[in-house]
Amino acid sequence: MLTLILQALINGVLLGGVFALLSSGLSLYFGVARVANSAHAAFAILASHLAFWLYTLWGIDPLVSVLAVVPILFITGVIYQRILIIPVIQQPPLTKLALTFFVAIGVENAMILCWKNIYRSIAVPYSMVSISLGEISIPLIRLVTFLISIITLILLMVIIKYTKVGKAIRATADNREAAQICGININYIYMLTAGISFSLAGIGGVILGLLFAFYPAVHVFWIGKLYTIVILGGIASIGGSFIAAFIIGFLDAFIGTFTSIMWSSIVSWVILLLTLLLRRGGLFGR
Amino acid sequence: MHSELRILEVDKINVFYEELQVLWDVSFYVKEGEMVGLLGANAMGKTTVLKTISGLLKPKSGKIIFCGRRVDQLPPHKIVESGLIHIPEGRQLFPNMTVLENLEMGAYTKRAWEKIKDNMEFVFQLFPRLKERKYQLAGTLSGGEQQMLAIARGLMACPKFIMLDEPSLGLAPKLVEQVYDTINRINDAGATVLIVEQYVGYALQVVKRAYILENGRITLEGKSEELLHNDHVKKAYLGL
Amino acid sequence: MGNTVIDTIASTWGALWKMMIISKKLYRFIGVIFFLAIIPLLFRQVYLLSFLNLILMNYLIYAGWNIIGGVTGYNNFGHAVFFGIGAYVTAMLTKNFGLYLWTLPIVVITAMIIATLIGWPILRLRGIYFGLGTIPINYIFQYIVILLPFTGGALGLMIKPGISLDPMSFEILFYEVFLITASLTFIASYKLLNSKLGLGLIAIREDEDAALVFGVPTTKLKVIAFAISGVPAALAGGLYACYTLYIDPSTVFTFTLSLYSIGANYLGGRGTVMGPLISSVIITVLLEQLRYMLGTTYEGLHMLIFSIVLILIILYFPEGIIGRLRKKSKIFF
Repeated sequence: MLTLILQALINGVLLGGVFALLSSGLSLYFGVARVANSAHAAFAILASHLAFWLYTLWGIDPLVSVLAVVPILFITGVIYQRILIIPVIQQPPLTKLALTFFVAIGVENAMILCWKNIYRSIAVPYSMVSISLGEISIPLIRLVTFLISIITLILLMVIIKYTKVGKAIRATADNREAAQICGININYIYMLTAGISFSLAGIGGVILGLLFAFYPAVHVFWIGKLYTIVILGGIASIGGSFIAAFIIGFLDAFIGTFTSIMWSSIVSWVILLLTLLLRRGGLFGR
Repeated sequence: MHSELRILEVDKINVFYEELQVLWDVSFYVKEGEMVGLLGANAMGKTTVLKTISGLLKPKSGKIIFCGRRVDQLPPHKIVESGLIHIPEGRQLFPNMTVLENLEMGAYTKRAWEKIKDNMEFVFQLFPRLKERKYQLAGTLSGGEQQMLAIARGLMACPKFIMLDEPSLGLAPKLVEQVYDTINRINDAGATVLIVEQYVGYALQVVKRAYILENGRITLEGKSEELLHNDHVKKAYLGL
Repeated sequence: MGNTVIDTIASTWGALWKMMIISKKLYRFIGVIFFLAIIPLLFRQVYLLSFLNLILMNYLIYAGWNIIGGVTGYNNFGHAVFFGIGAYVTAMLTKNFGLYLWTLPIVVITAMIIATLIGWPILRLRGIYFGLGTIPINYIFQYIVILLPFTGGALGLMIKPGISLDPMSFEILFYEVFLITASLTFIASYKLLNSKLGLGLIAIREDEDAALVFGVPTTKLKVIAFAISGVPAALAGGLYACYTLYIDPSTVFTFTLSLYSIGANYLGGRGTVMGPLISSVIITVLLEQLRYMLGTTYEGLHMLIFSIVLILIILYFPEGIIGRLRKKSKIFF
């Protein structure tokens, strides 16, 4: 029993890191540009497919294909902000929410059109390797993806905290008008933020492809989980969603260890609803 | 002292919030090196004028000319680049960033960034209190410190022209004196200043020339001395 | 809390009843409906009738959403739940008691009660939080149905029709029933928009805080609107169950249906009376055509095109077709 719990705890940490990466992009985009991007997961799954094909067709290891995925997703994000968000900036938030969902469905069906709605997974040679610590086994792939997630998040934090442009992003999120009168071009900041958000989704998608089976329509499952994490953590607080990601990670790990993982989906949805009803600002929001 | 060159010219601007008109044919000018006041009671449109000049709002008609170039259709960041700095009402800082970071953001433009070290020194000399609280979050500063930071942040941008919106708002009288003292020093150093104030009596003792804004229209203008003796001003704003 | 729930249900019922009162202006409308009603006698085509039935059913769903989403501005991302409730209430009552079409009044009441119970807590949320809060209910209801023993689980429910008719008569019967239900819904929508309740809802959409200041009982009105929005959708669900004789949780509680309701109203014109009508025709025709032309060869293409259409609508015509016409010609639709 104790080993099971320990196993679940370790899985929880490893999952939490990945969830933290996946939700950071969503949280960033909303915190800075006030865009609840429901298509975030759809683009992540798109990245999963890209990584899959790069590996299957040309043998490029997913961890290397990240180098290709990131710029592609970055540019996609910039275009997304420019073409899809700017025209609707004056619209009420619920209209923008509907729009991002339609984009998500569009991306889903574009993927179905190209690659059919079937299960896939990126099976690299080291997918099956496990590290054993006594009775606990840690799949190497989970450890690797966890490390990538943490490194990416640290990199993100460094950029946001210490670079001039990172500070401009924080300033824009803090007070939009004040940022403008400091000479910050906020449209440029929004596009940059979108690019970064999409890049994070891209890396997250590659990781998803390595860890789980995916198919085009699965983005709905993931965006639900990501929204749960972001709302639980407090919608504009990146630190909050970081912690919430681990909470959900532990939850999923325990669900997976002790009952069927099929429950994790509905549990996420219920937590989302309960958080909104009981404490809309989440754990760390205002 | 000031030259005869008009550094800022506002020419018959009409500004709307959605469908509601708030400014009617507002026109005024500021000469290089001057310290001018834009005065009036609350909610008369003074903040709207400043926001329109700095580009946060766009006029439906009319022109704004700064240093000889039209700026009314430019985005705010371009206007800041040309040296026109707006220090907004209510401080408008970045509450979750440190004093130091707020100042850094003030120097965001290329021109200002090159001089960031010098400007930072100058500003810390002007406001020693800010130097003490360099690493403190701006949201945790007192009202007076926040006003100082707002002005300091504006100064970091190498301004040719500074617009201050109600710099005395919410401050104790002693602090108000300090703030206006600082503004005078900035003006002496060569920057042109436009001050928006609701404390008309006080402002008229600080600026040499002023415009009175009432209900979105400029109703009076002239040298401070003249305005102080004007009947309408005396009745409406000085309680005499 | 119980008192306010009953009070709200009573107000909702009262509002619905007021909408049913017929006035002289409607005689023209009834004439149009009469003409439409005899169409099946002129064109005896099963395919055409079933197509029209589909349009009318979609109209009921979209018109329902319009009340809470279009008129009140609260985009409900869980509208499919009402459809599913209607379908399951009818299916279960028919399976156990053979009530078939007679379940419809019960469907209405059930929908109103459940809508009020869900609505009270959820409508306290504003903006994005409301939208996000309504998404989980799609899945929660799916799971409730799958888990409960008497609902047929994930495999769904199959029912026997309470009447035995040949295919043509079957279609005609359902055509007339759909037509009557759709007409009542249309009349109700029209009357709602011209009523005090409607005005209050529009005020909430335009500026809820101002409405509060002016004494509009926003929470109560929102819940009433939510309850009313569920009725046509639930009826559509009940009729769907009677019509197709088989339902399962993933079809009737699908989040996609909720998204369709939203998209359809942006297309037609949120908050208008004719909007849902136009969009139900366009969307049903569009989807059928696309599926016919592209369906199996290029899987996903028809949905992709549909998504692009919806995206373009929100980007460039968020006021919808009727909204655009309103702006241009000032005719009140």
